[in-house]
Amino acid sequence: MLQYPESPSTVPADITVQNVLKGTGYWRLVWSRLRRQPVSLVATVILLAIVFVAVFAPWLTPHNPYTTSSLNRLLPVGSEGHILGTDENGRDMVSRLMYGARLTLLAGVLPIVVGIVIGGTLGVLAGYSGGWVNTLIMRITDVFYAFPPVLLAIAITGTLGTGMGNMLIALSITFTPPLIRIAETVTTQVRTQDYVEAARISGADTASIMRHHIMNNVMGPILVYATSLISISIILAAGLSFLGLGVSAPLAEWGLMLNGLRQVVWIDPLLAAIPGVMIFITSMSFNLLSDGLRQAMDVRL
Amino acid sequence: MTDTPLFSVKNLVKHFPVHGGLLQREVGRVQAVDDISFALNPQETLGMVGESGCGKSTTAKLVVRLIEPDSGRMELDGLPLSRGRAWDKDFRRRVQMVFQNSFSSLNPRMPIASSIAFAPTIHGASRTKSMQRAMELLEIVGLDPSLYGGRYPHELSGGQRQRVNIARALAVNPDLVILDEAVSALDKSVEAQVLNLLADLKRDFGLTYLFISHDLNVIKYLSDRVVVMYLGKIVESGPVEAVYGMPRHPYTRALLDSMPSVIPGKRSDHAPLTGDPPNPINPPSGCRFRTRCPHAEPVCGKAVPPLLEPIGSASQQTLAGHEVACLMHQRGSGHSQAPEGEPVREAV
Amino acid sequence: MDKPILSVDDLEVKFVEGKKEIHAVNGVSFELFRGEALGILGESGSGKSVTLRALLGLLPTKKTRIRGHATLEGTDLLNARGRALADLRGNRLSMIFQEPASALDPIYTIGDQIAETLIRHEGIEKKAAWTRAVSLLDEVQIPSAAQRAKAYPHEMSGGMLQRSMIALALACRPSVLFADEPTTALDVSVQIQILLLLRQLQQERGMAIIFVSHDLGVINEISDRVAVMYAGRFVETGDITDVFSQPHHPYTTGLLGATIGAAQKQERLTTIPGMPPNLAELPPGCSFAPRCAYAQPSCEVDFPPLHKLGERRAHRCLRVARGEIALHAPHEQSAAQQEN
Repeated sequence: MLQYPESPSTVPADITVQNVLKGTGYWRLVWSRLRRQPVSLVATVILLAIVFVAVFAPWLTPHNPYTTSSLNRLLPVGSEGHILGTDENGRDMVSRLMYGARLTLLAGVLPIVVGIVIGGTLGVLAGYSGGWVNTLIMRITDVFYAFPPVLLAIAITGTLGTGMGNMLIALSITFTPPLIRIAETVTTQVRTQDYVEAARISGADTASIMRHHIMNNVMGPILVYATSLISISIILAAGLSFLGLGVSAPLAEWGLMLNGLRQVVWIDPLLAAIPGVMIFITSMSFNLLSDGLRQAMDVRL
Repeated sequence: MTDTPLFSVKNLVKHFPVHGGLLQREVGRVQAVDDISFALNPQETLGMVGESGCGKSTTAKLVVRLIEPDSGRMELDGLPLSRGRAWDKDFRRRVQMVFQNSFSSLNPRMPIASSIAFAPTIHGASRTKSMQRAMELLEIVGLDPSLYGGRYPHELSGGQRQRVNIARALAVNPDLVILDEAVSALDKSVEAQVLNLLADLKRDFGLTYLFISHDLNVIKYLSDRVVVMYLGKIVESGPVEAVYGMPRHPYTRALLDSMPSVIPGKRSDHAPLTGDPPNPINPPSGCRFRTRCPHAEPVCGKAVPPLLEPIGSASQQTLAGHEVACLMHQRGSGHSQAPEGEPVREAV
Repeated sequence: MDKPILSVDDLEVKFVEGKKEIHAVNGVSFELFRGEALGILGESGSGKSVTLRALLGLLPTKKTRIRGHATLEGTDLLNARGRALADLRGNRLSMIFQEPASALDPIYTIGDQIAETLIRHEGIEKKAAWTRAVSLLDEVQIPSAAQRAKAYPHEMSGGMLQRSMIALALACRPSVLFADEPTTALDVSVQIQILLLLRQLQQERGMAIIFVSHDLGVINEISDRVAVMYAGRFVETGDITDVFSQPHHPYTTGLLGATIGAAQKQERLTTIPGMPPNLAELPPGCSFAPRCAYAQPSCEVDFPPLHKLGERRAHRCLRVARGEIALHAPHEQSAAQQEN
């Protein structure tokens, strides 16, 4: 047990630990920096709006997204009752976009979350252990890396079959290797830093070092990279649905909607472009948020 | 000295294998530290000086047990170091280190008060007590705790960060602090402040320092005794006045002569050593300095000169404890400049 | 005395970062004569490196505002652009840096890099350039120069790299050499070799040199004249022996006091309290006043102009100029003792 000699404290009484450390948590610092970046704020607002719409879609949609109508097919943008027109089966675009947001967001975020959990853990483990553990994990990761992500996703869905569930599995498998890799790289960098050695000299065991020194410094870059992967996942999911390998009709998913409206591009290009525009806005917002996060987390300024 | 030294090192060896070729076989060994022995007496400062490749950084890592030696013995309070959980914890409280790079030795994402308080919590102190201690230490090292406690390393200057590192090392009440080039990266005026601080802390807390540096002036200022290293071996050691005032080993002489003159109007007119400090992968046989020594003779290549007090030369007075690893100063060694007589055996 | 080879008048360098303006160099003027060695002594943040880089046009153009005049043998330095600037650099005005490893291209041999600059500036043939390169490496005391010329930077030690960089810098016989802390990263036994080499080359070629360092000993070894720099200004200038034995500015005294070489063991080092000033918010008066042991309240308000004492001596201390305080070099006794 550490014993301190009895000596009167020279520090004034009102300087307590709480006062000094108030508001100094690292993540709080990141948040305050993030708040001051206009671009990130805009991106965050957009994303929050999309999430809100996705969550409350059943209450917000003006029409039933699945109701078809041969009469009202391909109504242009600005038609009465259908602000963004209708698709090739007469279904209301706005409603389908709202419901599509649910699936698209799910397809974008869930695989990444799975990737962070599984990939992050494996990567940190590999990075910290070094040696044969590292070699084992990283070489297996390399095998997956050998496949271009798009082909890998197609191959897996091809094997498992179509449908939302299988698509999510395929995307998770596709995005775990890059996250393993980034986690391993960052952990290896952090592990060799002097402050980790200093912690070892202080007598800390692996668990303490992990918790206090490794995790905080590693989560940042992993999160930044992961958020930039979200947009890729969205596009990949859209692509898979477009190819008929993911979600299938009559479900509303932006990629699927793009596929359905493919033929319409000659007749009403604006209508055909709408789901694509939504994919673009969402992906861009995630990317801008990711960039903002990276700047906010930088501690070398 | 009849008292037990606080920390002693005997015949320490550490080589690093070099791998190469297609199969990554061992193609050579970096003989970073090769059979060195020294002792640290309580409350003294031992300076360790040498140039690149001399092995002083490796020695620091061995003493603090970041790496394990290939062979040799280390003792704390006369007891050999052992492994084992409880023993290790105790060692880790009594021996601490301050690094050269003030920035990379602090967790960039932790407020500095937390960095200082980290080690005490590992050793069982409560979080509140540790934090309180961190505040006190910040004040002791000259940083206002209310201003600096919650700051991050990147918000501080190099000198301030180094003070934080010193506070962090002191947080567990160590007995021995190893300072590995701790002031080398600082501006001269800041270096002076930190050196004064180190001297004060040593006095107030009864610390023992192992001060490692390439800067001969800093070593002279802070140390009681000094050890000069060259290519993994100790070539001279002794009280700092003796080694600096009457350097015996040709390398020590050359090193001291290489220091730029700060006396206005006085300038060096020749470089005492030519070429670069050699690579410790294939050191010369026998005395490792012989390839650059103006007094080298064939006998110097035969065996490594032991570290001994120069004996048998009446005209030269030596302070007690001043040892040199040079055949010129060892009776009957076979060197033309050595005094005649029976060779002295190395004390076992 | 003949005309100066390099003339700098009221150089100002500001870095603009968003709303902040960092005043790195604030009105630096000096003249450099042929064959002379000027040492600029200062700590980090003093502006010494920025001064050199501004003269060579090495600062990022976007966020830098440079004002003032500088001429090298009649050619305008600060307004040189494009071809004119490229013709100047490496040719009549050259520079060596602290980290030779980063100043040399890792994918070309040393010989190739030196030959390249010769070909570029003098238009000679590759073979002739190579021969010159080898002789240059020989001149900087690299053993087996002909073989070493074929080596890559990563195959050489710190001392060798620094010599190679010197060879590269001197290839086209520049009239002025800028040296930015070239020995700071070297071992002390190599440092003295490089310093002596520079002195020798300087004398042989009649080349002027500006040597920037924070180390008093190094400045003492290499300089004929010294300029002590603080917060972007020269606070004291003069012949090296004069300034170091009889300083006229409290900062110089402070630096001398913080130098251990002259101090005896256990004698407490006189430190300069506090920290260097924030270059974005310089006080109106003397920038050193907040840390000065001799400062009066008026010092922080009244700006100290350069006070000249004859042709070769100047300082910026109002109190010294008015004769109110007399400074002396610390450890004068110890210095005399150390001479034995």
